[in-house]
Amino acid sequence: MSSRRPSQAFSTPVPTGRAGTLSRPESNLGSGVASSASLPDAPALTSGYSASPVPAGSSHNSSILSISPIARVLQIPATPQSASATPLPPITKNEYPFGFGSDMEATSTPVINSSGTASGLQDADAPLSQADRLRLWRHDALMQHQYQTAVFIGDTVLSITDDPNDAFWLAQVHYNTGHYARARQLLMRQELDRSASCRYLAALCLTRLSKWDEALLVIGETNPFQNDDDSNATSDGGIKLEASMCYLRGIIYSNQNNFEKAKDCYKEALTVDIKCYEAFDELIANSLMTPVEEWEFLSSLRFDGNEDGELVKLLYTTKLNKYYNTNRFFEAEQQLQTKYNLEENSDLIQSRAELLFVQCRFRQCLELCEKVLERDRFKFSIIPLYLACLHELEKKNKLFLIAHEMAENHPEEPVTWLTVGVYYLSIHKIAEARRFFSKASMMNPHFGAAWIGFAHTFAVEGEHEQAVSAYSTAARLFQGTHLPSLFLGMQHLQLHNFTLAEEYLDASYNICKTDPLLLNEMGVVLYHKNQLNEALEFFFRALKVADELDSDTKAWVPIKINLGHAFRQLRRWPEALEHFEEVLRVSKHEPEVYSAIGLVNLQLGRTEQAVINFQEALSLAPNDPVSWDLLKRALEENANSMISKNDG
Amino acid sequence: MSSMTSGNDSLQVDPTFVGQLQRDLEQAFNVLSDRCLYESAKWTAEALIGLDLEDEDASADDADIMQDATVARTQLEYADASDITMFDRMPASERRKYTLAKACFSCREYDRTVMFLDKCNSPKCMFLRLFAKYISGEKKKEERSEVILGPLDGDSTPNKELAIIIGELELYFRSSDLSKHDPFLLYLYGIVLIKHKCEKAAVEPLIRSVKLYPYNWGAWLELLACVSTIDQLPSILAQIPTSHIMAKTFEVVTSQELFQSTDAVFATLSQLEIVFPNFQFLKVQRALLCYHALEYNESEKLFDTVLTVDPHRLDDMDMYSNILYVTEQRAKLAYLAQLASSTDKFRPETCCIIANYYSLKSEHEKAVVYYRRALTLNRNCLGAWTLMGHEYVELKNIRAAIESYRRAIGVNSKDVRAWYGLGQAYEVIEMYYYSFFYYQRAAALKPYDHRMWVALGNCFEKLQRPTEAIKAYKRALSLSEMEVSILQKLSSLHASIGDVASAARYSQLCKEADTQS
Repeated sequence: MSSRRPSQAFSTPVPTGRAGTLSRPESNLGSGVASSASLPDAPALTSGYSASPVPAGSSHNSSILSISPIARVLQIPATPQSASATPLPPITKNEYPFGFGSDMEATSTPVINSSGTASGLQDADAPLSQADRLRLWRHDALMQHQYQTAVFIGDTVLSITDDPNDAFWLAQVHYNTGHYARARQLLMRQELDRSASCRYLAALCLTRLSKWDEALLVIGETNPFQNDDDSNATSDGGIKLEASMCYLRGIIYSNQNNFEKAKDCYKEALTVDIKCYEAFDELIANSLMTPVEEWEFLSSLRFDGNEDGELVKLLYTTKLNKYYNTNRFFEAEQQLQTKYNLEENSDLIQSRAELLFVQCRFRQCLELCEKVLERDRFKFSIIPLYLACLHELEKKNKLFLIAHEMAENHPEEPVTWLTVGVYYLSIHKIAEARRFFSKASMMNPHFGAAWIGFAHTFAVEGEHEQAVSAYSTAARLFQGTHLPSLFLGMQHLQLHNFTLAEEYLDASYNICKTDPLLLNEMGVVLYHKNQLNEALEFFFRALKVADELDSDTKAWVPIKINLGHAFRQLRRWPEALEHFEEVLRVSKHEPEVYSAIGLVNLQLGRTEQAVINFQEALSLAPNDPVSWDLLKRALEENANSMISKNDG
Repeated sequence: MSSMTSGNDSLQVDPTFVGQLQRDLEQAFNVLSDRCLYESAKWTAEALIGLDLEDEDASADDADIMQDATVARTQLEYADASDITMFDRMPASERRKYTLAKACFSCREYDRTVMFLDKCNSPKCMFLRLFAKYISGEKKKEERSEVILGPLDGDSTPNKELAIIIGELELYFRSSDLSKHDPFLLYLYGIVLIKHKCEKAAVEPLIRSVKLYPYNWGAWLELLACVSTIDQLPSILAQIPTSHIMAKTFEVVTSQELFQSTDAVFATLSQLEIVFPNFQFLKVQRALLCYHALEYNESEKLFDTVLTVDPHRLDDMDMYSNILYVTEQRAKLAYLAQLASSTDKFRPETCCIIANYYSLKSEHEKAVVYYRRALTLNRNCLGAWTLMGHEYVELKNIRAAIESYRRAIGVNSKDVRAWYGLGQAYEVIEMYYYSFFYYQRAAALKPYDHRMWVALGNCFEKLQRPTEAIKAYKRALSLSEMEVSILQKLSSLHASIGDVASAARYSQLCKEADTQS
């Protein structure tokens, strides 16, 4: 952007207007012409963008699906186009006679561009010119994904007309084919450099080529329109181009590991246009904001400027993190279901599933995930959630199936290899799991889930140092979730670095105050620091939270065990026993629980009972030396106590 | 019922009462089979056949008895048996599903049963679903456990459904009114709690279950499983109105299992036999009580009569083979083995009988093979673990013996032979603290058996505690009839602690006892 020439305007080569995707261009002719009369001349939209005043009104990133070139051409005069809006010095117009939008006529430039433009305006029924026919051909080829044809004809048209519009469209074709460098090269042509759309596309190509610095150069480091308070240009439902550009800027920043800036860009994109869902998704899916921040941000967004504002707001509300404001989520869900008839909408179901997952209700969550996947087998956004459920519930066979289906059908998706990794993790093939997590994270270095999985493989094997470094990466990527710091805290806890563990857990706690697991870990740290009463407090809070969340037993069993241990340390035997026994009743039997009960019974002088407890523990874990020692002690005390009883 | 409580001398049974009991049992049979509780249903049907129905024709004439029945019914202290229909209610949509689910259950397709009843909320559907889930979990546990005494066999391979079922049931009990609790769900709750080794917690729901619906024999059996020593029995009996015929049966069976061959128990049994003169189950109980009282001949006779009436009844016949083993009647044992194996080769009972036969012939390897087969057929087979432990002791495989005994205790903690066996096994490998612990448990179960105290005395001796050893031997002596070996021990022990006078006294007694015999 620094290379931008002064007084060049970004202008959209492709003006607004959205036809139905594949509709024939003719159908638009009428409307285009008709509307042309009613629309006023373009207002001045730009403002103090220092070097190159760019029209903010360039609202559309002219989706290739939007309209056929013919219709576009015919419409051009109709729309108050950005370029025209810009109070450009006349020289510009002379320089860029073929410009876009109404300046075309204003300048009455000769007219390679079109018979279409000129004649079309006067007479919509006039037969198409040769160039227009070729454009139509190119367009159809593009729509039908026959890119060879599109390139061939596009090139032909371009040669005939030398129109920047045609160059732009040819670039679009190249982009679609995946020939990003080629598209980029085409867009490098000087004249095209000034159009916002062209720049956007060029930057997009560069990001595809992973040339981040160059892309940033093209698109600019900051939003040039940030001082515009214009929000009227998207009334037709399109996404403002500048929002998209902000979003692209965010992508570039995040790839340069500049997450703060990326976050700001995404937020800016949404502020400019709430419809820029990509930016919203980046923010939410990658948890770039803390939960509180998310809610605050949502309420700061202006939805009122849009006809569908309410719907969008509700949709976004359901997407936010599920740590806070569950009531608002329910309200939004309710409204969407009743008012908008979105009951069966897979995204809504997914949101509900996410809520269930946060509440540790894995079984119900899995049901919902399966409901979504039944309709849309490869809905990538829900797959990490689905995997987490399957892993929690140890459904190895289903993991196997989905992993195979994904690998067969979508080997290019990082999430596929996440799936394979999770499968291997669940069957305890750690080395393989690590390989595939690593593959997923190589394909998408910002894939937090893959990093966490990668870290888990080290944690499972007790390689704490490596786990810590991998979790740290995940923590950097996933700033808004508390999980990475929680995991880091847990690793440090296992390494007996209590101070560090406490720090990480506190950081995690600042993000999320309602995770029972986190509260539990914090209690454990205190327990190890021998602050038993404080530990108890945390365990009770964890229990309370788990209770409020209505979680599965799996969530609160460890807490109960820890409560038992804390009570045991405090020599409050009956309470300790009560908690341990409840755990035994409702969960899978763990040897540690039996040992703990045995210890309590030993302390209480119930040696016979203690012997039985230790034997239970040993029957589950026959190689535990501690239990063997305790058993021996209990047996000896048992014999001695019998003797003393006899004496008495 | 009045005839029941009036004691032994009332040999005449009130026909009204019997008629009512017959109807109750008939209904119970339907209720139980409708819930796929086939073992309990079989027990009920056997009880029905065992009823004393002299005036069969009269009872067929229902109209008359219906009048009397209302009178008899008021005497029942339990919820009216017909109340059970309350728990049968379910919406029409669920009824069809239930039929299908039941059919699947009967064909042993448990997971299908679970699936078809997935969204049904009536207690009956819930019962069958969770019951099928439990059975399915058990089946899978068996499959995962692989070989008997293999590395995967044992506690490390649990039934994974248990905790889930407990969770669901607790949720149900919490969310519904206490008075509306379904007795069968309570029963199932008891089953899974016991399987989950929470016997203490299981007592309460089981008691409530039998109070709500006393004719479910399975629930009584589970309650029996919760009783591990005789001390616990009175507190349970205090919570159930003991005059009911099912409660009395429970009392007798529990006493039998806890080796209480007292007159009172025999008296109660006799009362029951008046009502059920032809109930084979009660005959077996009497035989077992005799067996525990070491009256082998009487016991054998009783088993013989059972076999004559019902030669293909394999239930409890492994116990009969134990008696034949103890009395060393090889031919009769062989006959029993042939009979059982011609009835069903692949019943755990059959395998136990055959194993006993081989053991008697001192073919211990073969015996082990058959015990293993019995356990493969049913890992909860009561006697097989203990007896296999004995065989391993014979084969000098102490490790395997210990493991077998341990498993026996896991199945039935009232098995004195297993506790004693463990004590012996640890004594062999000179781990006396362990040995002491197990003898202690055995002595708690059979405090009036001098062998337990001799074993304990022996242990104290090995642990270098002569004073305690003397106490134990004295206790043993008081329970036996001046056994020479005990007297000898006492004499030498007294000598070792320097109490020469006592040593001399016991040695004198020893001589006297010797000359007497």
